[in-house]
Amino acid sequence: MKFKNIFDQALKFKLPNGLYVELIYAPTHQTYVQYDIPLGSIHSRYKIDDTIYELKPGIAHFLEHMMYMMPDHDAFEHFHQLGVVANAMTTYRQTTYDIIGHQHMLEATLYLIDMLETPVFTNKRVQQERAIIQEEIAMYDDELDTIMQKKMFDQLLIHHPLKSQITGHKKDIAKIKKEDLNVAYDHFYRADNRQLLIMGPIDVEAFEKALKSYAYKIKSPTKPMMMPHHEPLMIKQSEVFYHIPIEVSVLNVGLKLNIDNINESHLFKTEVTMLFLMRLLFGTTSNFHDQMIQNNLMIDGFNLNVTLEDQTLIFMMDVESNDTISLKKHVEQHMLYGFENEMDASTFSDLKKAYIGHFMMALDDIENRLFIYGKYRQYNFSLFDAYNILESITLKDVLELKAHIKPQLISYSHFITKD
Amino acid sequence: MIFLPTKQYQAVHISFYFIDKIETDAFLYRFLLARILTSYTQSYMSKQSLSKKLNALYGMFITNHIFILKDYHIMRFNFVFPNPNLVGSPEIMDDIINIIKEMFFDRPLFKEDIFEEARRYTIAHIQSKKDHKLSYAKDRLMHHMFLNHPYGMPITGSLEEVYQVTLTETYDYYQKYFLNNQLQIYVCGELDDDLKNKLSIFESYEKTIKIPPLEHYNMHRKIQTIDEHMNMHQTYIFLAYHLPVKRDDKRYVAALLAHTLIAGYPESLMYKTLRETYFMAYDVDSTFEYDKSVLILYAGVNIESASKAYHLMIETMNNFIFDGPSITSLNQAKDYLKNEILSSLDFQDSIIPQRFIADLFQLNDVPTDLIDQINAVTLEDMLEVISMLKLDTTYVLNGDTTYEI
Repeated sequence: MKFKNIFDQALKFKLPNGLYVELIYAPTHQTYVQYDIPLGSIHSRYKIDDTIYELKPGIAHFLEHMMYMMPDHDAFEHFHQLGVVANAMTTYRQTTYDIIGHQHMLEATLYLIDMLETPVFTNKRVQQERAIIQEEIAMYDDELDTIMQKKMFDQLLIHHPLKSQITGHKKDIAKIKKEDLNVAYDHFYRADNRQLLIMGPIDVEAFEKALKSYAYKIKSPTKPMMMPHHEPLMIKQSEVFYHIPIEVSVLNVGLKLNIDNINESHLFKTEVTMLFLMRLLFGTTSNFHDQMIQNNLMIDGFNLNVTLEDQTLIFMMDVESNDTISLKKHVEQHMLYGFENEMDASTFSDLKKAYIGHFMMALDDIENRLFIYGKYRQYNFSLFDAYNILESITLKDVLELKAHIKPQLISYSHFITKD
Repeated sequence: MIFLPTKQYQAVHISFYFIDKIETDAFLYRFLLARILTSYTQSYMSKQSLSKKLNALYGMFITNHIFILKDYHIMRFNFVFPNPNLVGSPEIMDDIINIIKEMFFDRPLFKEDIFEEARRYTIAHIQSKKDHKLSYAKDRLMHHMFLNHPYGMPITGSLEEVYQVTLTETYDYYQKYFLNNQLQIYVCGELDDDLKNKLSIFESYEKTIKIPPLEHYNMHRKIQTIDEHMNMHQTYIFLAYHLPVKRDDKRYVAALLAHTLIAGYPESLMYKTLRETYFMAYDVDSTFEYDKSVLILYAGVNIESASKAYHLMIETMNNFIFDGPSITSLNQAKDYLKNEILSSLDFQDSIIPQRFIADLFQLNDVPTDLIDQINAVTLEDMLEVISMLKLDTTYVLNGDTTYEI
């Protein structure tokens, strides 16, 4: 197996103010700049020195919206004047600011840094931006996938911050004030583990010189320590029927596990092993999938999804069905007792090949490649480490993980048409 | 067969485009065929066995996209797999070629269970359209705009047709029509001569047919204003403008810039008005469908502000049509569009579709030529294109303030 690796030759350095930088030359058409702030939606408690702070749900995403406001202009406008495209996103663990373009990239990068070092939070702007975020939440709330995920989090989680969604709920963001934004900004936008990754046909030396000599407003880093959540190993509700205005019924199955290990490589391996397990049990290669389709209990295949944050693993899978009650019974039985029919070495080996192939192909998307590279770097492992972890997973690992699944940790949502 | 060599990607993409004239009677057959053909082959007789084989081929996956474009009904099948040389298994190419061959050509009568599964899937797909609100709203808009013209008809066929369709007639369609479609094949990736030679077996299947132009749809009519309701948390507003600029028209790039300036990017008029000035929307967008001669403007807005948003959108568009853009805003939109084109060149998924469109419309330009064309657009060109915009249909899908889930 060969990888086309462009990260080997990266120039890496850390600035005195805590910002970690990588300059990666790549013969692409565009240059991709990514600035990561180590604040995401699952962060709700942290410590600086001996003081413990709380974060309101949705604040990371709110900050992402607010950062484009400069004292006398809109940063988006300035980026477009420079001829580059700016964007940002908040995930569970970080906030990422991107710029992409082919001209004025050094100038745009320095301006991005200036923007992220210039907080401008006024009551008026907070109120105005809140209205826009409320519409963003309303938009997601009309998507069936969001509805299903929210309901399942409510059924599985006791107080884990995943419940709040990345945007926060409308009632959460109604409580965010400019003072909250200032504190979160001060502690995380100056944090020691923020990073700037730049990839493209750049003049590496010129970037290095400019970044090392830039007059940063942030002079010294903060070191916020995230505090873990202690999510109880129990679920709130095991089965709920939602009668909502939909045309085709859906069954959503959720599973919760607590992982007693904080090592990121181990957590990554567990996350992938869970996907292996569920693909073997319920994927398109499984006998179960074949039988349920033959019996007309499923319309199409399951959509499978794993989230592992702060040692809480949530697995979900949903499928359209004309008879969610019968299907649920089959799923329940199969989840607990069906693995002997599905776990053969050859199917497992082929599944692993498929994952390795998908891992390679996912890196062809340059933006995605940079994002994944940065994400793993924050977890202290490389793309190669991730690949090696994938390679190292055995059928025995899958069976061991299977042993942790207990009926009392599984939940079912039935989304049934109102009629 | 067109080879599009690239060096930077780890995947190989092979696309088969089956092209035919647009006939609404055939919509359902083609929708079913896309599902049936990719479900099994002669060597892998069930979905399960084919899935296992695809896993063994390092996760090769197959996507299909069915769409209509100008005069054509197009079925695109895209096969994506890691470069066999990179995974150290060049021999998998033989298996891949065999799967593709068996998938499309010389198929015996389809299996009953697979046909029934495809039919059930299609029924659920049609029934669940309302569950995906934005895409449902777009379908409704197209329906109201084009009525019984093929552009206004669902690409799936109707529910009534699915209930009545039989295996025999679907197979009959496959043999008599599908296999006689125009077929264009594209391969993108880093391929050595050996892999290319193996793939050249498909060249004998390619064919070109004469496809007559679709009957033109006359959009010159009184403005239609349509309001509908649905249980949801926002109101969707669509304004559809007639803009008769085709892909090979010299004003095409100016039309693209008009769409960008209106609501195509974060500095666009509508984005600045609805989101940054009045704080009543998050999602604002526009699309220019040159093949249908329409420019569609969309905003998902706060329910209580919907009426105000609607009037603001109309007023903003009227002012834009009257005044045109400033040179500064035009230059910014040009930069944005150039960035879009250059970014697409870094994205393997866009390489084949770009070349396909160029071939279909017999365009001589390559994507980078568009950059020169963008640079050449003047304010006068913009005013000419903008003056052609005629409001045709407004469609509002109203949400409900009392709706909770």
